[in-house]
Amino acid sequence: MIWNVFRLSLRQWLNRPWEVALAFLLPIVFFSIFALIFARGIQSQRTEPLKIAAIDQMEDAWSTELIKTLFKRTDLIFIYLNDAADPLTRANELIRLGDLKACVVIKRTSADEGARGSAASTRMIEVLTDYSDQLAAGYVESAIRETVMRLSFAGVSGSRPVLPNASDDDASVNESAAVVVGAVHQAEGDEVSLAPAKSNSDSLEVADLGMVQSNTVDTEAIGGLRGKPKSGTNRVSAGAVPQLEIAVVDILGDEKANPLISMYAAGIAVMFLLFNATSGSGVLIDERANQTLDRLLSSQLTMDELLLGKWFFMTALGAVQVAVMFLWASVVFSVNLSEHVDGFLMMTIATSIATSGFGLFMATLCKTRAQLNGFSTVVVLTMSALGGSMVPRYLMSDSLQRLGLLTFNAWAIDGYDKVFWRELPVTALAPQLAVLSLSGVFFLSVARLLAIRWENG
Amino acid sequence: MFMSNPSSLGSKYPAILVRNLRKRFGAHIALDGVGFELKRGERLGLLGPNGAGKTTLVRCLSGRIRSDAGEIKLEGQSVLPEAVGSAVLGIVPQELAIYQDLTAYQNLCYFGRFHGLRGSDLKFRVAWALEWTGLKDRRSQLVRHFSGGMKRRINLACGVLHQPRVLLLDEPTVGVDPQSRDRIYAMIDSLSDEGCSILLTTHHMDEAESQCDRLVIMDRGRIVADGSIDALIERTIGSTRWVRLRFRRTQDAIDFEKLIDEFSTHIEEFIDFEEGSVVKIRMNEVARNLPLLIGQLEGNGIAIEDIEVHAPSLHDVFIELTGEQLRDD
Repeated sequence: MIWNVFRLSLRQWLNRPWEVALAFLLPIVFFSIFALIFARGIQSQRTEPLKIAAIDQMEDAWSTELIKTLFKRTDLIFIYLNDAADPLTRANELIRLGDLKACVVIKRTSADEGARGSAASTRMIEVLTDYSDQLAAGYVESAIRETVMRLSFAGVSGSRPVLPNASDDDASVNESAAVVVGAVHQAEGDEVSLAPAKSNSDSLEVADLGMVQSNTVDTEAIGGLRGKPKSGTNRVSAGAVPQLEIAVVDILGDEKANPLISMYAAGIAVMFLLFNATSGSGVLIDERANQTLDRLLSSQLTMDELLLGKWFFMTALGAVQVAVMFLWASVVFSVNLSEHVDGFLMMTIATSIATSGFGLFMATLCKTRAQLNGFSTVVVLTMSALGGSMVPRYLMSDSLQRLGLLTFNAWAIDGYDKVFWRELPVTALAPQLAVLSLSGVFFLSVARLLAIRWENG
Repeated sequence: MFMSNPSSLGSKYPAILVRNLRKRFGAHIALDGVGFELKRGERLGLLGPNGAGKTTLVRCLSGRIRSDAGEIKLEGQSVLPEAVGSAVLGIVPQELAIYQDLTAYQNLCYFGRFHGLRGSDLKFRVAWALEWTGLKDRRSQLVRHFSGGMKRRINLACGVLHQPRVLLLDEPTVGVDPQSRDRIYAMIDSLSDEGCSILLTTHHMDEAESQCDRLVIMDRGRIVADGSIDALIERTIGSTRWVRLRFRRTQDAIDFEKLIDEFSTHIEEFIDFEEGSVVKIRMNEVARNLPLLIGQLEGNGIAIEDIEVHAPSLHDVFIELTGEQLRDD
């Protein structure tokens, strides 16, 4: 009897070809996605450079040489912020906008004036960063330490880092001139990639920031930007390694009670909106199967009204679901919802519009509930994996990150990120709101076209 | 009062008029020149084996699919897909086309709204439907907890809330017990009494016989018979009757077959042996011929134990017209 039950179950399963296909396809798809994320994302040298800025408040030979050496790294692209009235504020803004991964600030300490000239004085470096990309912060810190070590090694070997015409007298702090923005190329382990820096494809306005790739900049250019050339050669003398303190400052997260929760909440919210939308839209297939759709369409109800009604309902339900989830997150996990209600509502409604439209599209595309369930599971989980609901997108390779932009998850998470993490004004949400809303309308329109076959029997 | 516009009863147009309706799905011809008429206030049974084209016909009538050719008129007005939603027509599908996760009251309310009922009209009609279906006391229960018969009644009520003058009923009693069936028949009777014209699609011959004034039988996309039950019987089987003769011994039945030519003047058709000693024949003018046959049999020493005479039924007409071959395609 047990054998008969086994055979019966096998026969039933084999008679559902969609389920059979998905049973094998799903693990392969997900293994491939995560293999791509972890194998080609984190450790790949193809990742584009991380953007960082540097502000040299110290402006002595050592700090200048440090920046110059950082500047030469092929995994860094330095951009000058000398146009900014307050470079520190500008760097903060750029980090907040997500256009900058970190800003290295070589601090001028109170002891500096007295210690200047001392070969082994304490150096204080702050790495202003956005902790939402945890790898970048750690990587920048490692890059600084490694560069400092290189400087030290160069001094021991006799090839002392000397900046032409630098002098102590000219070592006054000139913050506006000492600011550069750059990028660090992620490389395997802690080793620095020696591959040439790629052209920057990020959204940062190169012209506005005056971005210059490190391998194209010469010392004169730096010296020119830094004002009067300095003579700091004696400051970084052979074998003299200054005491180095590096403080990583999370300028976005430090002020938050529970900084990363909002990001996870956003990722989970979008994934469940997608699942709910596809599941909710499946009612259409049920209605068609039990002839309720026939009965409805034989009344005064039209297909347009039916789809729109369901779309509005699922949008409203999805928005309420996400609102309740964030409300819970605000009460239990201290997500700062009350100060971001406007941006939250806009993002939630736009995301819900998109997922509802997509759900209806999936339902009208499929013939049976089983087909919808299987198909939507694959699509939603794939979108969630690529879009950052499961793994942060900054862990992925650039190509995967770009691929992720084909998913609702990526746009929605970016939007929520702007609201809760970067605390940007709602005007900054325009791209996300536009993409999500228009996607929703697009998928609803396609669903309407697909539903014509149901209207015509 | 059921009818939304009783004055239209006297209209010169039939409730439904179908002429030369054709519909093809790829190579399959679903409707091949179908034509019939449903008179005002009439109950017309639509019969046919599986695949005969009944469902396609009903979907064309309800405006859900467009025919390739031909004409459908609903009270004199052409039926087009874009003209559905007419208050004239009510549809009760074979499937339970109701929401199982709503209560009886909620189902009635929503389907009433979809048919354009609002405010006090809706309230009145829902109250009427609950009374009509006998589900007033269970108005607040979810439909999924109902018995099959109760679900069927709600299914029927949702199709007539808007007081249609023409109702398409697709197998309204499938899968219900005799009590529920009687209740549904009573509901259909009440609709009919109030002047509703009903097209009833069914596979139950007894249902068609008891519930319909006239029958249309379809096969392979065509109308193969149209008329009252008596007329159909007369037209297909005529006045012959089935006669079952049970002999005392099997040998008597064998002897009967051997001597069949002697009795041929009294027998229309020898049908078959049944269970060895039972023989089935078809006989014309039973009242005259049966006594003569009995006398002749006794004269030949063949003893009859029992005789049954059957009037031809709709089932016989149906088989006669559509054949005994299974229609599984």
